[in-house]
Amino acid sequence: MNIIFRIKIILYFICFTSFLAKGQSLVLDVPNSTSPYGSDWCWAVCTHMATQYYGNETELCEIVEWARLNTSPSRGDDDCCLFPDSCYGGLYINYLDDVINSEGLSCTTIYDIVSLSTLQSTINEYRPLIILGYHSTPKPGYHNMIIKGYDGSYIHYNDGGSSYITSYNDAIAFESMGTFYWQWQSLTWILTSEHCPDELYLTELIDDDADFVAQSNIFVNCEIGSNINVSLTAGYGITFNSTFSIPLGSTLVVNVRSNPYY
Amino acid sequence: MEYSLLIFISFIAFSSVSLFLRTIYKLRIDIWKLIKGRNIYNKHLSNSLFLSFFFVFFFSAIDSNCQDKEELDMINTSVQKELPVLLEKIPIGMEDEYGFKDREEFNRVKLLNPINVLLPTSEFFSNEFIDTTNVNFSPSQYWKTPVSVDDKVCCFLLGKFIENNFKVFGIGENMSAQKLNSINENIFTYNNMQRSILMFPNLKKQYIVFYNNEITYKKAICILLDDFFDSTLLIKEQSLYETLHICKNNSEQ
Repeated sequence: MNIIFRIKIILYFICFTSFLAKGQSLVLDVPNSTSPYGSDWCWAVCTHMATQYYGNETELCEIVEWARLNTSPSRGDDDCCLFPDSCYGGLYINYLDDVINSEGLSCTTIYDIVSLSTLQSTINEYRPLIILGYHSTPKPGYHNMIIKGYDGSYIHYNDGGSSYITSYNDAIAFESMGTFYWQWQSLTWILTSEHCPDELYLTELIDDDADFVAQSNIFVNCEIGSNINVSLTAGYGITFNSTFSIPLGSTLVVNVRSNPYY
Repeated sequence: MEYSLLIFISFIAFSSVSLFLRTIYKLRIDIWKLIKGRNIYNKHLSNSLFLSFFFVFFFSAIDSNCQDKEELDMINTSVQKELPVLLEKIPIGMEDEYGFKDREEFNRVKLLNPINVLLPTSEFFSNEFIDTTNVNFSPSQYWKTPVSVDDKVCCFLLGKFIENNFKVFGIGENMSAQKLNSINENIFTYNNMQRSILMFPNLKKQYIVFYNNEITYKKAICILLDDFFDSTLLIKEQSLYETLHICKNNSEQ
């Protein structure tokens, strides 16, 4: 082997290991939302954040009003948008999937925490997860939060109007999440509705010709029912544009190769 | 503990050591007399007992102070190590959700003094009435370290002591940070007071507590930290008793 080839091999190895070390990440654009002070509406806030993410314009109080009319415990006779104080109670957690469905969204209820790989694959499909948090002392309390992304083994989530980052291992092992130190426990609602993203992120770089591809980015303009426009910029300023028609939720694999004639 | 107080105690201790050595010398003779049954009450013996108690108290105070300092050192070491890792995890373009204007601010972050989280004791919920003569909460293993840029708190690093090691769990809570900024800007009276966070996880409420006496919390003032709906940053000061009373009522509903 000549010396240049050896150097190349070493450089590829360094690039490859640094790519592995960086790991994968994707954080969805789930907007933050808060509830009125004194209310126990974390379940409604999570549903509200999910509906906003999917592009619906429902008001928070409308979600609570639906729950007043269709679920337990009772929230009295007054309209929750006109008299929110009268509706401040929590929700029996078994009803949360009904509340989510009432907003035109579908979800799968898992009576457990989900593995990091399941979480990552769900986020990769542009679908957030609502989880149940628990804090034991001095008196037990429960809480809903929405997971919107991951970065390697760290998870990104919204709680009480703020965004948080916590490691997945800490989230399932300790009371460690959010303002009040919740532990993810026993219940997960995975949103199964399809989401049309504004931008696709490159989650996996399959790169069999690293000579010419220094970095790759994919930007996608997407509207439901229309084609997906892909613009990919490779190393050395090589730009590639094309239009695809693929079903949402499918995996787009783009193979980038250098021109053999150069 | 203030350094001036520490110096004062050291001075007293030094004087006491001299007295103690002198007493021991005399006591050596008196114990011999006591063994022989000549004296039951002995002035030097009572002096030495008093001094022994004093020393136990003094050294436990010093030890407690050192332990506090050691704990703070552990927290500071841990948060300084974890901060860059967590800042790097903030997605590009989402810096504002963590209280930062842009990534350039990451170069100017400062960690402020960690704030301990107080939790109500189980008696607080089981007792029928709030006992104003007793403190119904205690320091916990949880700590929140404010992250600031240009003297404004952006967010917190959240952590806890686990088996004598401090573990940083994550970063977030920029809404509380905004409220804390508002308090710092509008109420200067509390700037020199000690502060803790009184947290009721089951009620999803937390208050910043300002106080001068960490044992009795006499005249402590509480301000709600998490009232964000409609972007209100209203500051309502209330006494500790009033706060506990409200939380007690809420937890019984």
